[in-house]
Amino acid sequence: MTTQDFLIKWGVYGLAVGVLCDAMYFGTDGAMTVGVCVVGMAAGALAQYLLRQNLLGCLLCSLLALAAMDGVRILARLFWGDWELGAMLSLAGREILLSLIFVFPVYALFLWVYRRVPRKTVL
Amino acid sequence: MKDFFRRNGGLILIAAILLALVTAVVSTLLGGVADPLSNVVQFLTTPARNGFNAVINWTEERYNDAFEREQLKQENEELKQRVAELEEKEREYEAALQENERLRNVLELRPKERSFDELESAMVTARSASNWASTLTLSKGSAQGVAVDDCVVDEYWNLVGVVAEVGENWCTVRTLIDSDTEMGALISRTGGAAILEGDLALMGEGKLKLTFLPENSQLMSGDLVTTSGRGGVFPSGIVAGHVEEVRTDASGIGQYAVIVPETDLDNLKQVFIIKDFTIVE
Repeated sequence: MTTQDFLIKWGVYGLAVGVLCDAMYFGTDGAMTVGVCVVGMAAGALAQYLLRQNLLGCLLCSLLALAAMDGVRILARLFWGDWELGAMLSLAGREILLSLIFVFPVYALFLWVYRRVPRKTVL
Repeated sequence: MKDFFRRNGGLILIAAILLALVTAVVSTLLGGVADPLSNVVQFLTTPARNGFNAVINWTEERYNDAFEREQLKQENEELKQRVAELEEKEREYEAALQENERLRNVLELRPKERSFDELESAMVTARSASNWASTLTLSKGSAQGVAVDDCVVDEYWNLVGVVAEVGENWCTVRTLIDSDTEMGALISRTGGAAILEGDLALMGEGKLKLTFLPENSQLMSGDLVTTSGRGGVFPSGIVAGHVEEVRTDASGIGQYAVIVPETDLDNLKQVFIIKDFTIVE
């Protein structure tokens, strides 16, 4: 995959998800658009060049992506004077654990679609 | 299509990132007025949300009629008794009020006034989708004169929160338990002043805290806490909640009180936005 293809595939997808998050969530002010785009490209790079493209790789990517987003959120709150670090870490931890449960059905769904699309399909 | 993206994908990506940055800057500068992207999405989805909520509310009412009749009857009896007790208290209150007015006239003080000139009713159409904030989305916006920092109450005049973001036909209310909430408060029984603050840990339990307690304050469980109205942004005397318990903070020196909101945030359907008020104490 060329760099351009990579950017288009992961960057645009991440951007679209980020734009949706910014439109629906309160108080994000455009940060999710850029943030999810960057996380998307980073996850794509990991999946493309480092990790195996299986369930374990998917779990690891998801874990890193969720941890990165919550990590930035916690750092931003610390910067603005919110010092409840224990509460923030506890909330982030619970959020990440519950979100990882959804990796299984999503992975299964994508795998099911992937196996049914002929290799030579061009969109 | 693949060739189109291959040729122009980089430009599309750059344009989209620039759009996101502009949105972020505009959103920060507008200070509470919704950015164009959020406004468009919420404007388009508000009618659907209103429709879904109408169907859900109708279904809930049918369910209550069918399966909760006995419970409602018992609750009705308890409320009748409570109304009788409150009517008696109101008679005592009226006598005290008249005496107060007579004394104010004798002392030639300016008459007390408490009027909420513009009240806008709104339906709750969505609740916060994030665990990091406690917000409600309402069905009214700038087209109906709603502005940032307008106070929001429920039908019993209990504090719900403050308008934080306004769109054309929707607005977002930061509830009183949100971790960014901060306002002046008064303890009804003692008259002491304190600060009502949201707390991330307590927000998960549906509560908030009262900090900067007056020295030697002897708070009791059940003490009502109201808004103080200092600064003139929020009306005074709006009930926020009651004291549940007093705890020592992490430093071991200071104390704070855990406040349970008087309003039922999880089951709110209709609220009232105070667009303008006049209070003379």
